[in-house]
Amino acid sequence: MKDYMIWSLTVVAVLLIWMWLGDWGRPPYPIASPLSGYVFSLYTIVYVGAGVVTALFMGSMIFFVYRFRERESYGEG
Amino acid sequence: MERGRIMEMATILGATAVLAYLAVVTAVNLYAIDSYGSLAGRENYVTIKVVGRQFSWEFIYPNGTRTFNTLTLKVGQLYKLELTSVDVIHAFYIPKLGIKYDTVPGFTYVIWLKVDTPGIYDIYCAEYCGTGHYLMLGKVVVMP
Repeated sequence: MKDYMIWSLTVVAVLLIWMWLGDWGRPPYPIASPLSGYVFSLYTIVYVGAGVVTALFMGSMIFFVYRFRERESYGEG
Repeated sequence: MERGRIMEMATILGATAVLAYLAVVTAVNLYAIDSYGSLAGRENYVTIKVVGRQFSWEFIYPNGTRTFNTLTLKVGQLYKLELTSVDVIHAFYIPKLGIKYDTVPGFTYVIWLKVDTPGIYDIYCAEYCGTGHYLMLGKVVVMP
């Protein structure tokens, strides 16, 4: 149970970092035309979608690397 | 169902859901962008030809006026831009309006443009087109 919680928290942490780095998916420029509105809404959607995928995979990898790290009692040697 | 199998299915279905959502939203928005003029329907539009050449942008207005590197528009007016090139491939790029479209010799592509905020918007060439590529700059001046 503790593992699942740490795993989930890692995923959420990666997502939060991703969103913070990208200004929470806000458009890079003020929306000056209806067409820009379509374009920049796609930007936000794709950015958030990519963030979810990145968080799931990167968060899992970070957690697994830590959780199943090499220890003295393990290994082939 | 065993727990591993549930996790596996959740991963597959989750990824499918994210991709399906992105596909639907993208299709809807791209359709709206590409057919903005026809969706706008009876709204009058002005056609302006945009010609890319090494190393400047030429704009040809309906009355035959030609300008180089400066596109002057009226706020709130719908424009149909017909993009082409006379030499190599360029890309007509206005970052602040979210527009980027290739201009290809022998082909004419259409983009619709309507700007609601007066101002000056930079134009770049976003496709390397030769030694003077970096000089291929322009401005869209949107008059109130």
